[in-house]
Amino acid sequence: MRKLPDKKGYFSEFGGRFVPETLIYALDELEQAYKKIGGNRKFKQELNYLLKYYAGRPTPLYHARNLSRYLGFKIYLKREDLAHTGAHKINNTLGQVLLAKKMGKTRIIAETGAGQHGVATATACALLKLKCVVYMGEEDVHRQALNVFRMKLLGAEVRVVKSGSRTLKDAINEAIRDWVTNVRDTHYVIGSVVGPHPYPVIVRDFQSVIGKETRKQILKLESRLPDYLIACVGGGSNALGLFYPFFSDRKVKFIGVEAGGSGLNTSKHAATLCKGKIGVFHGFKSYILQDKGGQIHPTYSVSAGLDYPGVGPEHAYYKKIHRASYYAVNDRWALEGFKILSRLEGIMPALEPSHAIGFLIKERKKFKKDALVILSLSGRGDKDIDIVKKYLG
Amino acid sequence: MGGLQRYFQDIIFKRRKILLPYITLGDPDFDSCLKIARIVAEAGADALEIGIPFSDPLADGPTIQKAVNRALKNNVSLETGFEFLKRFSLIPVVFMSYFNPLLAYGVDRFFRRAKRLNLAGVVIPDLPFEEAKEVSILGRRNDIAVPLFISPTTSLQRAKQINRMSEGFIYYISVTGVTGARKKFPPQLIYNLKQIRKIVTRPLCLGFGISSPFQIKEIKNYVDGVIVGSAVVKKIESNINRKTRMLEEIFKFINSLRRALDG
Repeated sequence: MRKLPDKKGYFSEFGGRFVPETLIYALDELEQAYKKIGGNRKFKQELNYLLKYYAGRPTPLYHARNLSRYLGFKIYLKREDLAHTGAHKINNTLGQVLLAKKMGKTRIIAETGAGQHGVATATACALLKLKCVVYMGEEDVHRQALNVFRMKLLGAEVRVVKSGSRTLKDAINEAIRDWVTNVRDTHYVIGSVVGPHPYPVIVRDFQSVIGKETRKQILKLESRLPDYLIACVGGGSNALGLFYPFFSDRKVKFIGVEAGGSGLNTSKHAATLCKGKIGVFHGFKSYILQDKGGQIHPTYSVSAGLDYPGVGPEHAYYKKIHRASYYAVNDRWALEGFKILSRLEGIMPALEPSHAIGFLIKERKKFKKDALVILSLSGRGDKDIDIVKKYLG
Repeated sequence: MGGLQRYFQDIIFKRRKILLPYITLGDPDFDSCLKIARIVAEAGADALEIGIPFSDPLADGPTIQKAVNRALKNNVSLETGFEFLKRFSLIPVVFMSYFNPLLAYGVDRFFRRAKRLNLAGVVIPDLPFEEAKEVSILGRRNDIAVPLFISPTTSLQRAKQINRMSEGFIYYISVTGVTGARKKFPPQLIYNLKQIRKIVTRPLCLGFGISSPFQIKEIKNYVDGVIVGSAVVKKIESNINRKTRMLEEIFKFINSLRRALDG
């Protein structure tokens, strides 16, 4: 079980490498470097040092008493919002940028939707002194103007993507086009557990720090494992980072919450696992939101970070083997989650994890009173204040 | 050896070079696209590569992206591609399609249908060697060539394996990058071609970045043929409201490439 993915990067039928020939050499190089450098003790020590003293790990596992009372069961929040730069994304970017530096790459590129991954990449590049270019869809540049400015302050160049739907998927297209052109000196830092092999593995491994810490913390606090782990799923990196270290704990149930946008009965959502069909996109095989002819659907969500028509292949695999359950909640429930957590706990969540909170509020009757639930609070909400103001203000 | 490769070998045997222009299906509209295809054939192309529009063409540069957007507005799909095959038989046709539209249609179903309509081959830019086995087998079974790519970053060891699995021809990519007309080739191209020549036994066609007869003269002795895409599509783009002139310019351009290859 633990040996997945296989040599070709497959989790059962999901994953693989569907990229232009030019990139194969870069993926091979990355895979070998990750095996060799990523596995070595010095690299791990260096990364752990950065995670602890620079990014502020371990992040707290917080017993949200007021929210627990409101929901009717015990809930802990894994406070990724307290990590440096305000989201879990830093776990992955520190790992990948450090790896790229050891590989001798001089230039880093990344895509970003909400801007969190872009900011986290720009941060790691500032620290480790590498040139950084971030691709961002024009639509998202408007939605997340503050993060654009942040990236620039950190010394990154932000390239506005005006093709296609001008969101995350188009930013990835453009990043891949850049990579295929500058492959010899450039490392592409993918921000989620998507893309061609070995990216889904590398990002999962770097994000697994979330679940590893959580496991230790909950055992110390409650002397038992949780009944449920819940996280929002766009590409799926915070969810997989939390789930993966609990994979063999069969009694711990995984819940992934996707962006339901205006509703699953409309075309305006980003609920890939709930409504997608198997296909190939951005270099990997997984569930994809697409039409009958195989054209990729434009997606919609109030949260830019979940606005993506694909999902990590390992999530597709978890769905197939029923290891995790995936649901979607609409914008309205996400905003409700945002509001409730702010009021009850004084914590403003990002709109992405607000979906997971919204799900718990919506479905709270379905959980037993003695249930122990851990929610990945993947990021803080400052970046979303303008959007929330528009809806609730 | 399948039909397309035999056809190309025949051209090589006659000491000629293969000219394989690319246009996007349904660009600027279906009827014009058919007319362009006929002009391309008359001007001296040996075969035609026709791109099936895909919403996210990540191996393509701005010129072909724009063409794809024009075509998608006309609701062009694989089905339109089959319609095209019914109406065009002057020269062999090779589809260029990203993998997802083929998957959505059903790969097996696609090959069976395409065989009845005499499709000569299908090039899939996001299907590298490791993932291509099944598709190659289906291609061989239906006598539809599935040419694979070799790029400047492909090791010689790997190129050998690709050459073995590829059918029809080898699509050699001149530069690391996306499609798009470029004025000059990278300096190491001729060295690369000489190296790859020692390994490749299939017809060797060079693509990406070819935009002029001048460039063709530079490299024609090192290859069996050339693929010209964005430079043709640009003629469509810049004459979008002047159809007669569009056809004239395309004829002149293709013909100049033909002469450069023959001269």
